[in-house]
Amino acid sequence: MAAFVPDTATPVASRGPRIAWPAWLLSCATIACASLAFFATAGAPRIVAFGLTVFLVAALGLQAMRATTIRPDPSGDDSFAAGDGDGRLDRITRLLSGVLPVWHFQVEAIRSQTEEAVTGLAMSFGAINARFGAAGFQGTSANAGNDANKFSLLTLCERELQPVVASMMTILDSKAALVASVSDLAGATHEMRDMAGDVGRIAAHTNILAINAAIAAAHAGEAGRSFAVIAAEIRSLSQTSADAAHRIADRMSQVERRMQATLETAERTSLDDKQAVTLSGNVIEDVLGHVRELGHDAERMRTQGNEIKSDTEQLLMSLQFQDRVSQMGVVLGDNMRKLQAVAEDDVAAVPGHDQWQAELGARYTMDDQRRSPDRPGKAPETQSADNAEVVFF
Amino acid sequence: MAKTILIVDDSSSLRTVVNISLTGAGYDVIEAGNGQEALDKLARLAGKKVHLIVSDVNMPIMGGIEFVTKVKQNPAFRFTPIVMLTTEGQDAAKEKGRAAGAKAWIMKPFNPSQMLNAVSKLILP
Repeated sequence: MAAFVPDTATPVASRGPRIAWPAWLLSCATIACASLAFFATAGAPRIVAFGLTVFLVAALGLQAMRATTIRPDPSGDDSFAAGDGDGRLDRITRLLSGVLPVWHFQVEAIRSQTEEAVTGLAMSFGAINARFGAAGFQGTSANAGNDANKFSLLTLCERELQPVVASMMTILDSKAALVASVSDLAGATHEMRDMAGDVGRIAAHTNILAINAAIAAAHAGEAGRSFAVIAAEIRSLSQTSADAAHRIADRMSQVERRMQATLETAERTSLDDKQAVTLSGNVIEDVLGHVRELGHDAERMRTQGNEIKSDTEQLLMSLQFQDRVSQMGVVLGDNMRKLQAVAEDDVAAVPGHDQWQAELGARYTMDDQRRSPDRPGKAPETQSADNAEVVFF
Repeated sequence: MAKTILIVDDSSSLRTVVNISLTGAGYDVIEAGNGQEALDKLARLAGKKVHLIVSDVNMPIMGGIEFVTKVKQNPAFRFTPIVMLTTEGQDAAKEKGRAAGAKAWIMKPFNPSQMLNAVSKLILP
């Protein structure tokens, strides 16, 4: 039974009894026959005919009244709208023919715009990724390379500079040994000068002895003449020795003075070298300290750079969503065109819902597509890049 | 000299992502938007060798299975390994790919490391 819905939309002039004309004709014929029977009979037959006429008029009137005031609820049984069904279907068909192309155009625009934008994004992230790779960052994946080849400025500096300091210390030690040797040599020359002095004194003493020997030879007269000669030779020898000792002493004094000067110079330069080496060592340590800091900063930068590169790679992989969305858009767009074709085809039968769903489902490739409003089910586990499957044939 | 890989997919964004992964690993890349376009590019290679093909399944004009079948009929590319890269996960679809001549089946979204691993295992010397 159709629900009662007051008709306030349809103009009054268009209202009218909604009874099919064959019913009208039959009703009028029946009333005519009943009236004829009423006037043609008398008594009980007349009463029967009268009652029948009244009944038929009442029924007809009631039918007409109900038809003018009842409009079937479109959401319920549409049996009362049978008379207007063709017009409504025609309007729906025209509506679909007009709207479906618009929807299809919009869906395609969404698909193409997102594809274009995501492609641009992918190229930008790819360029960033390539620049990070060119800068030496390898990401944080297992294939990023081992640490044995890791560049370390600090290690390089320590390896190169510390032997230099060690060499300088060795030179310093050698110089100290040289200074010690020079000092020993200065001491030795001093001793030699003293020894030359001793020789001079011995020569002087020998000269005195020679003089005394000459005096004794003179006292001996003729017998001491040979002795006098010997004494003269000894005196000459002592004189020569004294001269030699004097020259040796002078020479040793010169050498001693020079050795002393050399020793002073050596000691002074040794002190300077020691200060220079100490200063160099401090500077090198200072540099190594800065390099150490620089190394820490570089390590932090390298770690961050690798993480950024990995994040960029993850972003690139996440952009794969656009391919899935695009596939869903293509299937939806094709289905809209198919519906439009069905709506515009007056000849072919309209497929049922189950058949339509089955044909649509045959085009699905992803579990996301297989869920539907009336079969939401549990959301399928989203395929992620981390658990992507590879099958070898 | 770098080896050459042909990528066949109707999604330009996905071709870009695959391209980035492969060029980052040192390969040269040729792209095509569907099976027919890929066949045309292979025909115009003029002696340049293609060491491996990566192909989608669902594409307009010519899909992946038909493309693989036709490539295998060409003596020049008969032994070129083909890897299918697709959202299709049904066993029936995989069997079609295997029967057509594909050597591997990778589900989207793909893991670049796994894809590169499969490529390195199958690529021609």
